Amino acid sequence: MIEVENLTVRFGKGKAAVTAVDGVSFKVNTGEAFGLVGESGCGKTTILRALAGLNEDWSGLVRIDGKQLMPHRERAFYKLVQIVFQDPYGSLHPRFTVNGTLMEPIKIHGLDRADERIDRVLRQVGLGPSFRFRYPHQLSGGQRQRVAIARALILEPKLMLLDEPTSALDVSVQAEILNLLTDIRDSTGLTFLLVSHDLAVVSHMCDRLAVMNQGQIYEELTVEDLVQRRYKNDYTRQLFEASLGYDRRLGAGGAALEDASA
Amino acid sequence: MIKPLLEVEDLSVTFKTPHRMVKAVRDISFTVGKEKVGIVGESGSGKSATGRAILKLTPGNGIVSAKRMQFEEVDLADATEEDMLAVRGKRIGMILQDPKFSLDPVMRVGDQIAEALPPGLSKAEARERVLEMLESVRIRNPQRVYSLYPHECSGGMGQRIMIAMMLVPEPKLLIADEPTSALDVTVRMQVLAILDDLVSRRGLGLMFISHDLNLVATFCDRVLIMYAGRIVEECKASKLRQATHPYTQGLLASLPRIGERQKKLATLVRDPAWAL
Repeated sequence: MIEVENLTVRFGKGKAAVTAVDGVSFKVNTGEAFGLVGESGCGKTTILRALAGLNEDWSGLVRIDGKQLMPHRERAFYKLVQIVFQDPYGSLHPRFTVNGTLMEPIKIHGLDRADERIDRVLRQVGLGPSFRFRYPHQLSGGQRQRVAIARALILEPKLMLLDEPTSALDVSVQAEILNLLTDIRDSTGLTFLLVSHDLAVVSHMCDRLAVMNQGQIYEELTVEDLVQRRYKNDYTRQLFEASLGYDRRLGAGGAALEDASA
Repeated sequence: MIKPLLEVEDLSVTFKTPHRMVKAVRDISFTVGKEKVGIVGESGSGKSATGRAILKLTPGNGIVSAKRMQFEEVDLADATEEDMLAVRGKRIGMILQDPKFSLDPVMRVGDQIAEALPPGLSKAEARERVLEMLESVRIRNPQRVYSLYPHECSGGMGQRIMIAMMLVPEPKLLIADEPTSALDVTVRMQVLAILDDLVSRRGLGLMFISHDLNLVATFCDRVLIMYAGRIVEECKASKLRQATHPYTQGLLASLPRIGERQKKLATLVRDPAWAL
């Protein structure tokens, strides 16, 4: 479904240029759930934005569903690829009802049977038609994220890009949203590319994952390999151990903490 | 039994909104000694409101009431704003989630730490003390870091600077409200280790407010679980997995875990009775 070769994204010019993504290559098979894991600033969201067409300034080779992508996308592309963002408080238009939000993609793509599509997608995300004329401020964080997922699903895409879809939510709500995503994948066979800083979330949702740091993929492994601790990279080990909780030993080992900003 | 640093009895915090009164914290009682006490709960459970009420930092539309809030010899419940000046920052310190918003953006971090020092020190003495503090929070090159501005510091460094600043007056109690939530996991461990050392070496009491059950279970000594403004359960952190309250059990079950792959995560069914 996705083939990325040597993707590079730079921000800024000349001396101030920052290479956010530095020659990254990976493949995601059709129907697979693939995770990109890393800490803030490692470039994982930048990759997602380049794939989604939100940033046109990148170099490398990207194929989605067999077609090579140019920096600028045609309308048909967005029917194929949709994205769900991290913050459901920021990603929904505050003056649009749920209906208004879901109508946008239908109008843009000139789809028919709007009412039927909206009702169906609202049921699919577990909200039901009664939510159709509510505003975002009348919804909880979890409900908003369901609307954001509905907006992505309404075009019946083949690939869903998920940018930290649960990190703004409480753990009990996170479980509901993750279950919803699992259901959607089971029923539609969608391909997921999930970006997260949370190894536990990625290991729950995905088949394979890539560990990123400083704009590069350090290691690509299956979730099974991760669980069995068959990682080769030391950074993966650090992430893995840190995700298990606090361990005095680990903290003490960091006496030589790098003042990384310099 | 050794007398605890802080004893709170029947603390309530209520917020006035244009439409109604919202009870954020409802009659909770707890103590903090020279230990790491974790307060966990989801957003809106009242954990931060509790931390703020202790320092009397509740916003203007909030009403705090308590039968007793005893911090060493000070009765916080009855303390005036003037009394609080002697407590706030000096004897009870507070660390917030994001150092980016807690540090003054236009002042060198070393000078900000120096502001917390007692008056009357010479410039050279003050600088010396600040460098010591920076070193104690494991900043490797304190000379260089002293003259940085906050925007030149990483999140982890910023949080260590905040901790250094809080520690200058040698407080007895530290209230840390999600101190590591804005930090990357690898840096998080080191900041936690610094806090851990402070409790064990300086005999500090630490109130650790967090939404992260896993972290609290592994880091703290004791845990209070809050739901809808109440403490629904209190247990030893190491025994959190054996918690008995259905809310705590539900929260634990809804966490994805590496290596325990379930098709579906358990979801929490909230019982209105928990909030009574």
